[in-house]
Amino acid sequence: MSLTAAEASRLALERTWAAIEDGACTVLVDSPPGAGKSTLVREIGRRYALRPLRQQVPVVVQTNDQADDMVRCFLRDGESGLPAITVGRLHSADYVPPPDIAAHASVTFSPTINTLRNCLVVVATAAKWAMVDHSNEWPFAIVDEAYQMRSDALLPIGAMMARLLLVGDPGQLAPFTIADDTRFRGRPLSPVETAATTILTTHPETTRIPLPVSWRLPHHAAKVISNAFYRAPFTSGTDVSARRLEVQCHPSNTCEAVLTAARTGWAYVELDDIIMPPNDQEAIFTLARLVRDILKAQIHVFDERGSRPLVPSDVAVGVTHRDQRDHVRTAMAGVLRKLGLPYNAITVDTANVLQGREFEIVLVWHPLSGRRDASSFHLDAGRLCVLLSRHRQACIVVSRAGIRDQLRTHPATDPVWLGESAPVTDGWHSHLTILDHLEAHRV
Amino acid sequence: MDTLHTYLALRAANERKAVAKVTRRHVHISPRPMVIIGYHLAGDIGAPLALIWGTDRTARPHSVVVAEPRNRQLRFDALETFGQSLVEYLSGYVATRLESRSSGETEPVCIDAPQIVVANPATAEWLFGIVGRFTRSLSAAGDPAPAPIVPLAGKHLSFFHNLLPGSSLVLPATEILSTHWQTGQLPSEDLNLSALLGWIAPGEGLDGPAAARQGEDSPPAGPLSDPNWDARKLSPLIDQWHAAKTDEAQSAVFGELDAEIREQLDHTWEDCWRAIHLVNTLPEGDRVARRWERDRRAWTRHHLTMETGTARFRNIPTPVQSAKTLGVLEQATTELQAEMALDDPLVMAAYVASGEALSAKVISVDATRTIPGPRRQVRRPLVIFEPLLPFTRPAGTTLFLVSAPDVEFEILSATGDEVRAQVNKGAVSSSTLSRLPNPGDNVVLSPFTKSEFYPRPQYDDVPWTHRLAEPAEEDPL
Repeated sequence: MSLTAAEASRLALERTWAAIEDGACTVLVDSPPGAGKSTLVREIGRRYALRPLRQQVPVVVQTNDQADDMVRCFLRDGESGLPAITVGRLHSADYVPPPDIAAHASVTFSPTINTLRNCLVVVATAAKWAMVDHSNEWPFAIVDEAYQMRSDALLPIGAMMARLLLVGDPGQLAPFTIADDTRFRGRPLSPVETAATTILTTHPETTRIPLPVSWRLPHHAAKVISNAFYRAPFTSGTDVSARRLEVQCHPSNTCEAVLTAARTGWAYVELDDIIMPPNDQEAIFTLARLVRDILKAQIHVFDERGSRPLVPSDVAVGVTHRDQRDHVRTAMAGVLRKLGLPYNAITVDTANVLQGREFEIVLVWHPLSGRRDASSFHLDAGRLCVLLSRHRQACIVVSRAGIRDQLRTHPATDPVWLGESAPVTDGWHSHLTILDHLEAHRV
Repeated sequence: MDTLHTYLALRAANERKAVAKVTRRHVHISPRPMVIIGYHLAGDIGAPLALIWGTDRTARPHSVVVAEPRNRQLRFDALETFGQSLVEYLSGYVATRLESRSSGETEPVCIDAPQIVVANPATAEWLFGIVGRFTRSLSAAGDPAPAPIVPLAGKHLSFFHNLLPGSSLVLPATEILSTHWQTGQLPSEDLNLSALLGWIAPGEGLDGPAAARQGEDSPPAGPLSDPNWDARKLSPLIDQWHAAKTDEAQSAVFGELDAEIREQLDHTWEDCWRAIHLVNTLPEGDRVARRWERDRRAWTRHHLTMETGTARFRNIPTPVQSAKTLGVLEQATTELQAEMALDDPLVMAAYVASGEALSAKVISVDATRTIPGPRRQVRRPLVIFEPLLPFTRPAGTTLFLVSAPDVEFEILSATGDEVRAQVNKGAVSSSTLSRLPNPGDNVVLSPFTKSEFYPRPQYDDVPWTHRLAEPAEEDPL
């Protein structure tokens, strides 16, 4: 392969645009973590909207945070010399625009589509698009996070928009429902499956384009994540020497985990093999201590953009349950208070919420830690993949020992549904691949 | 299972008797429910063997028995008798009165709705799912032709299939019992009605486990019969029925079969009524009536479509129908969870124990506190609580007052002995300030609020994204 990472990414973008210009009804871009998915969405959106016809392009995202981020990036693009474009942010009645973009001249906020007629791009959540009068029609629209979007949310999009570019990460968590979904299982076009799956079922001729390079994941993470979770392999956009952390530990601190993570990009902190309830106090304490070590150590971040000191917002903790999130947040608030920082200075959230976000250092509470069984919820390859692919520099995993035994001794008990296709990645295989990797970085 | 229910299960095992899981009744109990119990032939869910049913505990239940369950003529004859009885029962619930909706319009709604009690979820799935599905579209031109009442009853049975969470139109006895009581055995063992009743109401001189063992020895509650009984009794009697040369001899065998089957099912008939009676001893939860009203409206809609001949049941729903169904199901699931907790302190206790809800004493209330809003100062009363159980949810958590679930609190800080929270909604204007608790009050704040109504998008045509490619058309000749 003689192509550089940048050339390979560019080629994927041009192929996508060519397929759209060719009049393809559906194009699906499969993107590994941090592969420039949202850059592609903005670039295609701009090119389509700025054609001589000047047709408005709806952009469908899944959450308000994603919508705000999208708007923010469009504005930043305009300031950095790319063609400026008028952006509309369609939102619900009780939404308050974030202060940093609320007063920007190039963005219009409105709860009704009619006041956004002059905007070339309109960004809104799928839930909000569903509330738009269905007599509206658009020739083309972009759906972001198509693997996070439920098939039922695609119905109103299909009712109004004639052609679609769908972009998403196939390795992430699939959407779910709180309701008993037995009656939909195994049915063609179940409302609980992903929007991407639905499009692939109804339009098998869909052009599928994989993005080949992850710009987020460092060299030492891309290969592991690609092997464990992705069918279409990808590489890291940065080489070995481009990213590193320089750590100066306070002598009174035990920060072996932090040093290992800085040196190799990974650290695995293993606690004693004990079966524990989901709010395992020792795990919470360990995570809090690690965050304290990271914040107290003087860490310098070196990457392709230059170098700078690590700040608290560069750090995140990823957990499995909302209950765990609340307990970790409370413990973290204590640590942060002692360091003179606000209680929410670092991000603590569940895998579902962390999807699509990136940080320099991510601490992960292993989904199977301390469990007696390996249920399909905890075994979900997407959950582990999201947690392990949020970082640009280093990832520290905290877990109770004994996961290998858990995986070996717990047979699958979930029913098999006729007519339902098996997941592309097998949770067992992914977990074991990752475990083999982590055990080489045990501290 | 959460901490509280694990504790209750251990207590039940230790005390050798089921313990109450709730303080209120969370289902509606009709004054005249119809109890239906049935068996089908082993290995053939489409072949009913026997059904017994009735609306009066003290009267002998009606019954049909199919001497040769594989014979479709006999099957349809039996379903005709059952269908007549079912339609007659349902016709007692067609009287309507005008009721107003939340939108202000009035519409006719059935004054009461029918209620069917079955032994377990498996019977409900068989009767309303399988039997309903294969009878509802039977053609009168078939061979053998079923009586017109058979497909009519099939449509009614189909209505009772896949109801919403919290519906009381169909009550599987094991389900209502395990909603209200916790046994000391495994959840899968609770699916045996007699064993479950043994734990809840063991007879004289017995404890829960002993009564449960006794219950396990009684004939199964259906829809599957006991395979030993099949081999020892059923199979020889069916053979004798075939071998009988005269009508007289055949009806003698039939009488014997009828008596054998009743002996198997009578026990469950009594168990179902005991279950209804036990659950009925609890006082009804405040929000049960709201859910029953939803049931009455659902029944009214079904009744009207049957009247006008427009009742349609699809085997495979369209993507648009599935999406609507899922939306309704999700809302009903959330509402049921919230309503049960708001109605019943013992249900709420599980959320307090897990730390999702806060049970606390009010220390002080500052109703005059204001903070800077987007445009001007806004009133955000501050309440300080002393938690009765450790509460460690982070700042920013939103909770609602259980006694007034539209009063919204935001946790500002929570330490071991003090929780500070500000009121964001529901009691922030001078007219609503009286809804704030007073110092000294014991209150519970929970994550459950009044259910919100989300308008659902309206469209009927399946869009292009959800239409499967048509098979290529053949060339016209």
